[in-house]
Amino acid sequence: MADYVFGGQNNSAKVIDEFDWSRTSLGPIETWPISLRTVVDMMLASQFPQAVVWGPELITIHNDAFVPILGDKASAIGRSFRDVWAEAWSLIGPIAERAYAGESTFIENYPLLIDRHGYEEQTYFPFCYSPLKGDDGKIVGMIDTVVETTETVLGQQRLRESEQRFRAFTAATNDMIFRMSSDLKEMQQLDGRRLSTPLDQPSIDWRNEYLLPDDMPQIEAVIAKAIADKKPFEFEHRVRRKERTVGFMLSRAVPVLDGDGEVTEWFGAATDITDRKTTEQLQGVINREMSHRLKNTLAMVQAIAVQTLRPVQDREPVEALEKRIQALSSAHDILFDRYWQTAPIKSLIASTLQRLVPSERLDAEGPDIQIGPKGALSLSLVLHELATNAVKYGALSNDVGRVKLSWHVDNLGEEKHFRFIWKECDGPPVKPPSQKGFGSKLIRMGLIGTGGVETSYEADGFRAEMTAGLHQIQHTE
Amino acid sequence: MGQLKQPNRQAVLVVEDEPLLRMMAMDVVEDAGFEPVEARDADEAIKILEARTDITIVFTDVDIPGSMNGLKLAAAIGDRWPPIEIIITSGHFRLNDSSIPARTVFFPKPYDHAEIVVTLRWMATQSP
Repeated sequence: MADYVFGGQNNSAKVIDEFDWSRTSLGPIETWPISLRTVVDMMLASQFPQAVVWGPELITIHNDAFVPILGDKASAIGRSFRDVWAEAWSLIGPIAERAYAGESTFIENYPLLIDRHGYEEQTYFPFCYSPLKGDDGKIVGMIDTVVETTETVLGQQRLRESEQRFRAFTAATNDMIFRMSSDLKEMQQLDGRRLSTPLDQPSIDWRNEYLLPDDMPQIEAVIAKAIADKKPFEFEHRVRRKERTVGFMLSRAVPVLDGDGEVTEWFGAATDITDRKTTEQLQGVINREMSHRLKNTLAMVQAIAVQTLRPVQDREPVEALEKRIQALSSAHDILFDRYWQTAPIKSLIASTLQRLVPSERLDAEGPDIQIGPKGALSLSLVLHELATNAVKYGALSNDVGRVKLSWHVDNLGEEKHFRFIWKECDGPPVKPPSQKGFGSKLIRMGLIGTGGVETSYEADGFRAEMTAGLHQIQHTE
Repeated sequence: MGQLKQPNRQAVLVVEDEPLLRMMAMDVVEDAGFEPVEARDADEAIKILEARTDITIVFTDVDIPGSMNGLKLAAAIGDRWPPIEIIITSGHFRLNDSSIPARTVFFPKPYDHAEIVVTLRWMATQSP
């Protein structure tokens, strides 16, 4: 075999040297004109992807750097450039023709739909087709210098789309979106929905433009903590609105951290919650008014009862009636606090027993769970009866007796049970009552009006244990 | 219930616009051994206080019609007739201590008759 013309300096050089050029219009490699050999030599040494296209049949000779651009296409060396890029020839053919006519063309990020991996793909190439002259000075070919920028262009496209989506998101949201300096003093960007506040553009003094002076110390404390913690924060606050009115906002902000974990800026969103706050305030007014009327009505029921029963000589049942009405009323006091949804059991116990059991003679121990309205009224009435009995006959009828209250939640199988124990001690000896009055009936109704009560007259004092399903006493309807 | 026909009984002014509740309050006052005097609102109460000197205790509701509510009435009485003791009652859930004028006692409605009686009698011992 003859010496290698291109010296086997790399893979493409070997392929070119070993190719049977006699089958092409270029003829055997030894017969190639100096100009062609020179340009192929230069091309093989280049790290840029390059292809020399020679002669009227556009025979292709390329370097190693050009191989990735071909993808899975068969080797292009010795083939017509037109055949190699057949799928894109309608676009690049005219550019090649111009090169053959002596005109060099450079195009930035030329979009081409090519098939090099068994499917059509959108690609981008900045490339230059420049004419090549033969030994006689006439143009006989061109050199294609090309860099593929598909990944860069697609990356930029994805970034643009992502930005567009973000724009659409900030335009669609009901929130005000903002970007703040790392110390949260300066609002650098404001997007999203413009709310009817005087703050409708980025501001270096957003706090004074936006917030109310009275709220400042509290808000600054929240901000100082967020900056120290470098963690997202959210809080509700008042804002100035146009026309000198005041609105409410829920603001959230998330820190953006640099490589060292320092905050570079904050991103945040603010939601207008003025309507909700107004509704809550109105609900509070209605709630107070309802509570007031309910208690007035109970007071009138009491007045009617007392007036009606005025001629009755035995005052004890009349007083018992009055006190039961009061027990009912005090349970409503506690329920009122939470819009008649729930009552914390500790407040309920304290409120019901405060007039009957001196606090120093009462031990109450248990989790401060929430009781539903029905459970709260039952428990309140039952506690009232138990305490009344204790004062009349039990541990509170002497000077030293005590009442121990304890309650807990048991997990019995799938259901949670609430267990409540009333235990008297250090009282006088007790015995079951000879007749069962309304008070005993109330106690036997238990926590939810369906029983679950065990009473025992133990040597050291009366004991009552009441159980009910936790969900039953927490039920809110 | 039996009316105590004592001479020189101390008088208690009941201020309550709801007739049933006023009637009941009058009975409580009477049961405690005082002479009940009734007023339907603060303006009427002030007129009575200006006309009579035997009233030592005022027992008033907070929500009463007229130019003053029960709290303002209590404050006005404190200014003009400092020796008079005051009991305030209301269906409103627990008033703050700060909203209750000095030297007044608050009872939420519905109140306990026995407690009112005890309070009235205790106050009577405080009056000069």
